[in-house]
Amino acid sequence: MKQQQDKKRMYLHGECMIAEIDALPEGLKHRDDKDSIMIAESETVGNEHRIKVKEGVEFFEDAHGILYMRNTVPTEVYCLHEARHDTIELPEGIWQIDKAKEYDYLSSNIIQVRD
Amino acid sequence: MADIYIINSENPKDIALELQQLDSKNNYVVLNSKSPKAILMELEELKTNRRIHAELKRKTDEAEKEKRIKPWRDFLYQKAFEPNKLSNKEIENLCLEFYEKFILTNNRRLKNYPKAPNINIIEELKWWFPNKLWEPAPRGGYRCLVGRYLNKIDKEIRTEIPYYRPYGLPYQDPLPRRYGALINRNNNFGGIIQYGKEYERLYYINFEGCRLSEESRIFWDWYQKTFDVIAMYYGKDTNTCHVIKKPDEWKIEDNYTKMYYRYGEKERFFFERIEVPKWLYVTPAEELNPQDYLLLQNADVKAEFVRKIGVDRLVVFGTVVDTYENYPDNEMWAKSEYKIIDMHEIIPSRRKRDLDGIDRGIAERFSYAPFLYMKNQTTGVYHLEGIHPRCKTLYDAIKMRYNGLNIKDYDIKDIK
Repeated sequence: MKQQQDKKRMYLHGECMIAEIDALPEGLKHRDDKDSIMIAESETVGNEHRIKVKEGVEFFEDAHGILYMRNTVPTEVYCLHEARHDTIELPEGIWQIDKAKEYDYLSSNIIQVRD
Repeated sequence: MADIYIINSENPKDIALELQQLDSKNNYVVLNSKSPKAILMELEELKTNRRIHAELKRKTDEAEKEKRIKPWRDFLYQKAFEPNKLSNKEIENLCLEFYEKFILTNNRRLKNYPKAPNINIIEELKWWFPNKLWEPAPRGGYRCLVGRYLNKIDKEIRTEIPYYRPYGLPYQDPLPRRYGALINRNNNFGGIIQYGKEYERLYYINFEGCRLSEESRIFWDWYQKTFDVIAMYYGKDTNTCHVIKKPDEWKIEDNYTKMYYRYGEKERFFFERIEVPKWLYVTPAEELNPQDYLLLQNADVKAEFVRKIGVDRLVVFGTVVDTYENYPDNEMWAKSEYKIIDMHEIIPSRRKRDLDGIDRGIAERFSYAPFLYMKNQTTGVYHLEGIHPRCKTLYDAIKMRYNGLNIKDYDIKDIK
């Protein structure tokens, strides 16, 4: 039980990963998006993974384009095309938001998953 | 008004007459038979006959309605999918004709739109053009002007045809539900693809013969010409008419699961909303080569490949290395049905490079090529995504997939 309590939380939404971190890294740039922020985009169908922006929810970005979120109120991660992935409610916390990788056997490289 | 049956062995007609005079709201019916049982049976038969008659009338009316609206429905579907027959010049003239007839002739409108529009002809069917889903459709512009003429036409139809009710006709849409969002209907001021209720005007004018005033007729004559294009939009900020031209060939087939269209030599193929390569579209499922999976880059297209070929056919070439069943405490992995499957049987050989990085033309087969097999919990579609050959367990695979995060330090709360 104690071991479970020590574990950080993680949510997976399609190819997006939202992982809890202890603190925001230094040198981040604040993002001022309104209503919602895009965390991943589809190449083919105009779908996007988005997180709702509201009071108590802040976003930051590092030099490599990795997003971070600090929220004191719950928010939601959802798809514009709701049929693609169900909405997940994200509780309060500090999070790193990143995208999944896969291994491409033709090029022998690790590449970002393209949706 | 109710039907009241008089069953009485003594002078039922006199009773009926007397009661009818006192109570004119209801209908008093005299039944001739004297035996109560016979009377009740007769009563029941009368009610049944009435029900049968009502049902027959309803079916006759429906058949009659269907006969009347069938030409209209056939026209809509035929018009939507017919090949393009307008040149670019004719499409430009269509937009300029609107400007000349309905803006230049009105001083107030001319102040708002002093210049003739630029024309942008689009040879592509794009989902939700010209806006992405989350941006509100722009208001005003030519759509507003067209709306005024159409409202006037509605009033004239109502005057001529007393039974005209908006939404009275069955809803029609040449684009089946899955493709409903293919063309943005929020702000188009012309074209054959409209909201279903817009087609009702077409029915009453062109098929019921409703007459219009001269001004409305001039507008309607122009409006009908726009049925030779897919849709027309106006961008006020750039003073541009965007017109989606009809494809040279366009079909939605296989129970609405596949779409194909062509502009000139440029063909595009879709499984519902996902654009796929031609070979995936045309090749029958049983002739697909599992190795072709590797030719695909996009995860959605890969999923369509897996869906078409059948995940069983693909996975049968593999060997399960690790599975969610080995981690009974991990509920989230069970929901996504995570497995590592070694697919080296279908992975083609790679060119081996020497220590200087030079390709010496030697091919080397993979001895181990793991893929992460998982289920999208929302859609039920299975995905196969490559993972690095050093991954031997699900922990390794998910760590690699998520940028080296040690999954054992995390409690996965939800996967969607």
